[in-house]
Amino acid sequence: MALPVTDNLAQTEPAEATLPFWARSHFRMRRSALALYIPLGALILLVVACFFGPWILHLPPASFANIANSNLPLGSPGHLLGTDQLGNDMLSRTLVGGRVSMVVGFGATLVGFVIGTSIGVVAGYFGGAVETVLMRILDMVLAFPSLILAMTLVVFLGPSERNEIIAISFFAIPNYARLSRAATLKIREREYVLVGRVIGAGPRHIMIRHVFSNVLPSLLTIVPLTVAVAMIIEATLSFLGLGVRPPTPSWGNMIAQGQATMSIAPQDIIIPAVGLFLTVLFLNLTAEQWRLRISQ
Amino acid sequence: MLGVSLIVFSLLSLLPGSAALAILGPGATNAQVAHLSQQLGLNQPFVERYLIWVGHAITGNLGTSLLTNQPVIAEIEQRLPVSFEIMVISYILSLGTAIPVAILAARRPRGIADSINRLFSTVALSVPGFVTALLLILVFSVKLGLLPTEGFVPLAHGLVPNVKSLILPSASVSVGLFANYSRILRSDMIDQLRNEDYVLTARAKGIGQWRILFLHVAKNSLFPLITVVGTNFGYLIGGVVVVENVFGLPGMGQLMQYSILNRDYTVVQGEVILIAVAVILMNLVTDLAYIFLDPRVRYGATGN
Amino acid sequence: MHPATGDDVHSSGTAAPAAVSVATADAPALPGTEGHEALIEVRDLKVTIPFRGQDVYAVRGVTFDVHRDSTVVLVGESGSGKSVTARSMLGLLPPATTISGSVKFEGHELVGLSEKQWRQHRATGISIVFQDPTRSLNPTMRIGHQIGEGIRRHFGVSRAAALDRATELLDMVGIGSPKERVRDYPHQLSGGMRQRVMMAIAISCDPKVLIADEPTTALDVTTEAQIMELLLSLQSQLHMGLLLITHNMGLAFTYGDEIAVMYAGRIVESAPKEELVRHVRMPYTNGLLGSLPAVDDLPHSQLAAMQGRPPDAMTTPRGCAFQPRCPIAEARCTEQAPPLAVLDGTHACACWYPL
Repeated sequence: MALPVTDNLAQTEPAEATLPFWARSHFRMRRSALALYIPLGALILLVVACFFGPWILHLPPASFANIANSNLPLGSPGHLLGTDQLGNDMLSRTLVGGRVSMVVGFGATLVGFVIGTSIGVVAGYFGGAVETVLMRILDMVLAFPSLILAMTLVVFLGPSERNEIIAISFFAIPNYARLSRAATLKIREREYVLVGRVIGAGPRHIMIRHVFSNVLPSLLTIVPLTVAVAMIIEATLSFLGLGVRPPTPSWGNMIAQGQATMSIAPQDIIIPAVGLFLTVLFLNLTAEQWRLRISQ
Repeated sequence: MLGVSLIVFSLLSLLPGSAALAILGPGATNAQVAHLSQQLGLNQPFVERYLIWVGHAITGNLGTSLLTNQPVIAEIEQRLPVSFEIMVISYILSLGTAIPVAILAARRPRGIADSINRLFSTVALSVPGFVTALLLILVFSVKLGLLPTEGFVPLAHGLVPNVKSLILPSASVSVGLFANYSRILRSDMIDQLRNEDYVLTARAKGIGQWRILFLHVAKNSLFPLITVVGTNFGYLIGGVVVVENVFGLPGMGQLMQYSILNRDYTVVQGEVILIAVAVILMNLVTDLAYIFLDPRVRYGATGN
Repeated sequence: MHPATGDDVHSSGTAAPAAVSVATADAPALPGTEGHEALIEVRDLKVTIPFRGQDVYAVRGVTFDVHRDSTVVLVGESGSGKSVTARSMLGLLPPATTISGSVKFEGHELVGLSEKQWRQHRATGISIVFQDPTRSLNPTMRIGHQIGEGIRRHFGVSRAAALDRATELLDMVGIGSPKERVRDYPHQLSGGMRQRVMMAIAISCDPKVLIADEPTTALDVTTEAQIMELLLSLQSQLHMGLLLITHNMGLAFTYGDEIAVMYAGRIVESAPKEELVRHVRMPYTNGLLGSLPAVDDLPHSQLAAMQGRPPDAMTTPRGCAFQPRCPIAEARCTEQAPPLAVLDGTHACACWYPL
């Protein structure tokens, strides 16, 4: 490690500016590992719970329950989290609802990632008019508020899970395109790419082998963040009635339903909200820690 | 600008038949649909329709609502002040809290103010706008009964009731903005305090921490602040749409939502274009603000 | 900052023989300064800075005086601890720094002062000019305000009065049309002018001691001479003590009254200029001088640069820190670190085998 220049005595605060306050410097080494694995582990736990929980725990179905059971409080026998106004078991509904949010969130990110990165790498590698045109179009999409964009796309596609994925991916595409293009520009001039060109490899081969694989790691750290934002947009769309429609539960539309009985049964809103919050929080923390580890 | 309108228009016109179908309802026969389509000029070639539409738009005619048959402009005009007021109050709230908190946090990093701010911001950014809104309603309206749950009171009926009806929605939007603003500001201020030599010079003059923060550092932090305000403008708009729904406020967001649900394409088109214009204007404003605030640009350099 | 506690845990292992120990004895007296009071007395100053979890021993026991109306030059390579020494005299080091030893200004102990107490001494007692005037001036503040800020803070005068004084100061530092210039922003001035502004700021509160930390390193050679002349002129006008920090031996010999050579956080040789010119004792100093281009060198002849690099500031060598690079090192040099010993009256050197 280089000698610290005595003229710059500022104790630089590396990305610690974004760390949660409970991370202290004397646990530096151990902290790096734990701080990443805890949120990551919690995240995996949540995903497993949503996809396999109802099956493992033999929970009652999430829809079309006996309306006589409506609005049971927390801790009722057979219904750990009570029931909603239609009598559906809250725990079951929450877990099943989580599936939608996660699938859409991850799906939109995947689509956005694949398409966006491809566009970005192509633009960055070839440059010239291709790059300019592509980037201009993307800039226009990027400047536009993502929620409104998703909403308008849902207009003519119609509300559904699959269409949500398409609509939300539109906001992810330009983001990844920008990032991958910037990374491509940096890598384009590096030696191994030049070597590839010298030995006569075609542009497609070079792009896939060298550029793509080196651009990938830094982009991957953004993925959890994108999933988090995508999930929030999905929840908002469902909340506004433009996404997944009842009786299929989604955290968003569950919260919308819960609005009606807010004063007497706030848990109808709080429980799915907590589910969403935890998932997003862990995604954010994972992304932060991952980025820190990669940069060291 | 032109590009955006082109994209929007092309997207919305890809299904010409369904517009007529939506108006007539599912029971219409094919002949009726065809007839209405012709009437609405939906059968003309794409380019022609687009040019006509652009021509109208420039002169302020954004078409007629498919639902209410009112001119789109009129509907938008009616609802614009509400949304605008929400945005203004949101800015006041978010900037008014973010700047002092960032200063406090920068003055003593890892101290109380800083830790609370960081924790709060992490949480705030993990919660969608409508959840914040509902939580605020739960606390302030349901439990404490201080503020109305929904409904808008126009200025004409008095300033206080007007603000009361808008404060919760604006606060919901401000939470997310506050988190972003305070993070950027705090980190920029700390960066200045640690790394910039002019801060060292000021300390060498015997100037106290507070004065340094307010007079030296704050001014230079305006630039990243303006940048982040600009980039968060889209978030603000989205947030306004959401809170208008939750609080039942008759603004542009509510109009947008209903138009989408009812497939009122012309209204949606008109609103989207307006939003695009607003975004572009905002970018322009931030660029101008830069130019205005940077003394290097105002007074050209005469030395090296 | 810890109060002066004498030797701290991070002692460099220097055994200081009591008789000629500089830790207790006064610094070598300058010729002809008997009448001049010592404004600053530094005794065995040690500064340790934590950096990313490790300790950097930036200064390992430094002793010297700064007298009124005379110039002390601290010369050394980058990383020798000269800047840290300078900043420790103003309390401008990071809060986690450990300082031991004593730094007295007009008899007052400065080590261990609270931030509030430091502010009393800054600008009015001791002042500093930094290396890079472009970065040291706030780009969004007019220079008049930056100059007047210290005046207002310490003397409580009105804004108008401070501005007037700032104009006067601009004139003193040789900036033309000061009345118009005082409203300028830093970017409107050239590099040399900015450094003049820095000097105006430094002398704005009539300090007794002025520290100049590499004042001309960021400037071109022609401006360098002007700035140095200005510095000297200001010194004599205000009767200040001047502490000049530089890595440039040429500057040191031209402008210094007493020269102290620093290496790896310690002073390894110190003497009045004339004495040093006559007889260099420390091999390191010799090496530094040898690497200067001479006027009568043939064109394109190689500069005799010294081999190797200064030691890592995070390690504590057992013997002499310069030993790995020293052309005349012997076995003793690896085992024991030589103390800074006074050789004859005014000349001190830290070497087992002085030249």
